[in-house]
Amino acid sequence: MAEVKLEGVTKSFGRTKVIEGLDLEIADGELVVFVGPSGCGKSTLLRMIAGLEDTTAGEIYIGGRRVTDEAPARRGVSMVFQSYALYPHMKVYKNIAFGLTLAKTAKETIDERVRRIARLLQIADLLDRYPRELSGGQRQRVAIARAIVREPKVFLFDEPLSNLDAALRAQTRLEIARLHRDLKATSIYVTHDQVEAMTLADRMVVLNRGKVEQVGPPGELYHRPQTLFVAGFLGSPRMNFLKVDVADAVATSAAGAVPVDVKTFTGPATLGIRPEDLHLAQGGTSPTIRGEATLVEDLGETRIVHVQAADGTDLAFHHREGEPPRPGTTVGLVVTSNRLHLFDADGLRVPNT
Amino acid sequence: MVSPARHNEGQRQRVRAAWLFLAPMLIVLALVALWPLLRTFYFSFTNASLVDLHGREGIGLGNYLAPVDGVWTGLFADPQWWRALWNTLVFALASVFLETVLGVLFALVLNVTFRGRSLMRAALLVPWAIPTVVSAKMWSWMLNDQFGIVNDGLMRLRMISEPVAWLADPTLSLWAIILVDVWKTTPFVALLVLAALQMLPKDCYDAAKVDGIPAWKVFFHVTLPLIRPALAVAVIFRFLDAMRMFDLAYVMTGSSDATMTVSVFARRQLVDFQDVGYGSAASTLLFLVIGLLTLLYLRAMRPDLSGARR
Amino acid sequence: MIRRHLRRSAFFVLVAGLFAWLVFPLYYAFVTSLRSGSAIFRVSWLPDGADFSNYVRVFTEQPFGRNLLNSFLVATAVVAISLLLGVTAAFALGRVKFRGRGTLLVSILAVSMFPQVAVLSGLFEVIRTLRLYDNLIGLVLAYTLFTLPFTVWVLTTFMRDLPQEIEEAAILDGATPWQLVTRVFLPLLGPALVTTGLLAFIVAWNEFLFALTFTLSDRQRTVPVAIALISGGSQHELPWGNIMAACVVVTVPLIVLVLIFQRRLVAGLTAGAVKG
Ligand SMILES: Nc1ncnc2c1ncn2[C@@H]1O[C@H](COP(=O)(O)OP(=O)(O)OP(=O)(O)O)[C@@H](O)[C@H]1O
Ligand SMILES: [Mg+2]
Repeated sequence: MAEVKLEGVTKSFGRTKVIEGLDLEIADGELVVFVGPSGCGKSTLLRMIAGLEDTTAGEIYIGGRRVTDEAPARRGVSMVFQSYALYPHMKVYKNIAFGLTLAKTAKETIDERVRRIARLLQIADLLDRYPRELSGGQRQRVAIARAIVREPKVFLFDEPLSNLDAALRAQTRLEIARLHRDLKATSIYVTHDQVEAMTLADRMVVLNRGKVEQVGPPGELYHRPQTLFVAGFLGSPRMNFLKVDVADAVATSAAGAVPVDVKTFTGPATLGIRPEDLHLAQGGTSPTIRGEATLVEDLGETRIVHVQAADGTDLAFHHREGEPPRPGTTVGLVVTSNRLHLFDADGLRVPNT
Repeated sequence: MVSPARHNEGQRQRVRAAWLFLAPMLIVLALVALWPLLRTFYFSFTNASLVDLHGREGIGLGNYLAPVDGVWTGLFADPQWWRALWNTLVFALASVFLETVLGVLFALVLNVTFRGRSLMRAALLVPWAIPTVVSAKMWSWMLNDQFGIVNDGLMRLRMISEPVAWLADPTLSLWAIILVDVWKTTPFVALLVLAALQMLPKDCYDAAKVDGIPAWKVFFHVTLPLIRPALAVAVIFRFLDAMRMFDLAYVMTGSSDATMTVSVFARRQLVDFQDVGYGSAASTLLFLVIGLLTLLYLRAMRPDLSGARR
Repeated sequence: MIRRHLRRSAFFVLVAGLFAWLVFPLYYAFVTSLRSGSAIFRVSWLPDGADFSNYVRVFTEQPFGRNLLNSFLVATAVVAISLLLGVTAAFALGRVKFRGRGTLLVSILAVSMFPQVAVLSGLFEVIRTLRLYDNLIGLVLAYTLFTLPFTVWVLTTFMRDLPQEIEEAAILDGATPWQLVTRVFLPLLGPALVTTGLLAFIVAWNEFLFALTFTLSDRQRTVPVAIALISGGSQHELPWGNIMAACVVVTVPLIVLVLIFQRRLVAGLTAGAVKG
């Protein structure tokens, strides 16, 4: 059993607080992805769990055992780094075996395990090469093999794929998903790539300025973001935000009026509409938001139309079929009304009823 | 509230190991540097002699300045000491100045791409690699008053009409030694400056070229300020080294008053005259003089000793 | 057109002049070493003949072979000790954060800078107490005074530049600090070790003051002292042929080494900004 528990974990570098009183529980066998803007403390948090960084305050538990004061090697974690961090002077075999060698594991056991894992990761015929003789993708697979071979309780990944090109990234992502399905080891994964996060995660943790914004399965975070930050952070193109005033279940702005499904809420708010929930008003439907088309981006499978709404806000929506509006023309838009997001003045989601 | 530094076991082990790793080096340095230095300070207040270090008595400031039978004695009253200090300062200032100017010249030349540059760069390492004693001997031979090639060359060029006694003439010998030191250590300065030159951004030079600014102006207004940190480091290293110069003077001119540096003076007292007390006092004073000048220099220049070239 | 030509010629005259200034003394020592008898006392700018009797005499009139061996042994031992103590110290100073690290680094640098003569009497006492006077081991000990500080200094700068993540990977693999140094950093520092070792070797090979003061007998002398003390039959006539031959003998191996390792030496010199 290897659940990970963080209790009030805090980290300061000198006077700047990077992580502030963070609580989080990760279940055994779960794959949790940390996302957040650059510099929000993802790597720091990961390194604290690994023990590479001291905690200023708070406690860390792995498998029910308090490890806050323990040496990194004794926590039963292993880490895959963005830069691979392979030992340049050792061949692949020795790279993978190094940890076991240090632990004085029997030679036959080492050999058996190294070869089994090399087969698992399809690097069996690279064992006799130096890291400099490998491609980026191969190096990363060696790094993963090195992490796996010690059979850790927890895997930590710090942006493992961000040095790879797009195609390789997609492929390696699938491999990691497969590995996780097979090994069922608790994993924490840091990434900048939303597709990676959405596809791999059992649960996602959105961090912002050293604090947890929201935790939950990817779908829940995407469809029911609890804060304005999460809503804006996930999804590409970004969620559209309109400054509105809510009264009597109608959100009004200079761009138009949108009926919202809240009974009790009144006052200033932000209305969030995902680009896929915004459409051209067609035929008889009367538009709820008006604006002027400014730019059309053709991505092949879809087009993204940018519109300047009547109140000056920039909006974007997907347009899949038919002729897109020409830039400069006035457009009327409608929304999928059961998929709206409303946030109060503090940026918190207004509970829909 | 931030609790006091919490280190996990791994970090604690690292810090412990760090001290353990430092210990052998610190012990050796204490044995060969710190302790001997303290002993030298201590000896300077005694009348210890080399043959019998133990049979010493404290004599207070007797080695520095004290009245004996109504006459002031000690280093401060010793004209030879003052002469040695003067020689050392003249030597250090002149040689460091010349080395810096020549070193920059060498570096500028080596920074130009031309055929034979790598040969030139290799040649630069020749004087640097040659042992000081060997340089001293080579130059003594070249500067020999009767058979020296320098006199021969100068006479052929009609720059002198009769041989010059470079090393025996008290007005010339210190300058002969400065010449050899400049020859030997210019490469060091040149290499440091060259490393700095090669890190300079190319675009400001292109900009200057486009603006048609004359080369000498570019040098004084762009290059020199940019290599100043590297130069400051080179100068302090060279100066500290020049202030302790021993080999050249000892090998080329023995213990002639005209070239005697403080190091030569101190060793002569210590070893030749067996007067450990007096010699230690001279050493101590040299140490203090160098320390003082270094502090003044660091104050004035603030060179980045830790990594000017990174 | 003509101006450009003129400037180019001027540049090459300058380069030729600087080149001659650098190598002429060595060239002239070589020319002299090949002449003997009264020929030495006629200035000759070009080599004339090849008389190797000076070289023979250098080795027969004094234990110069022994002196060479001494220098080699002392320098090698100094290099070994400095690297051994230097690598571990550089790990501590370059990669571990602890209080007093900055002060320690500056003090170490200061040690390499202070005048040797300031420790002469104290070191003399230490060496005599350890019964190492007129003994090569005493010289090895004394030389660590110069070589250890700059070895530590240069290795620390190299150590700092090694990637952090490789060290962290090794820590997670369970490497102790000692294993980190010996199995991860040491192999990665190979080139830096060659550089620093070579610099330390040159320093030890060239040292004069301590060698002169702490040895007494002909057979314990190192090469610089031996050369400085070569004297002829009479007081006023130095055997210049022998001296120049000795100079060439000690210099040539050094120059060869230096030329082979040119680039690395320059990198080391400028990294630590130390003088060899
Ligand atoms: N050793 C350190 N000393 C001081 N500040 C640090 C140190 N390490 C990290 N920080 C700061 O802590 C904050 C969080 O850094 P961290 O590396 O955890 O961010 P991150 O979320 O991983 O960013 P990225 O996505 O760019 O990798 C940053 O503001 C960074 O400047
Ligand atoms: Mg990061």
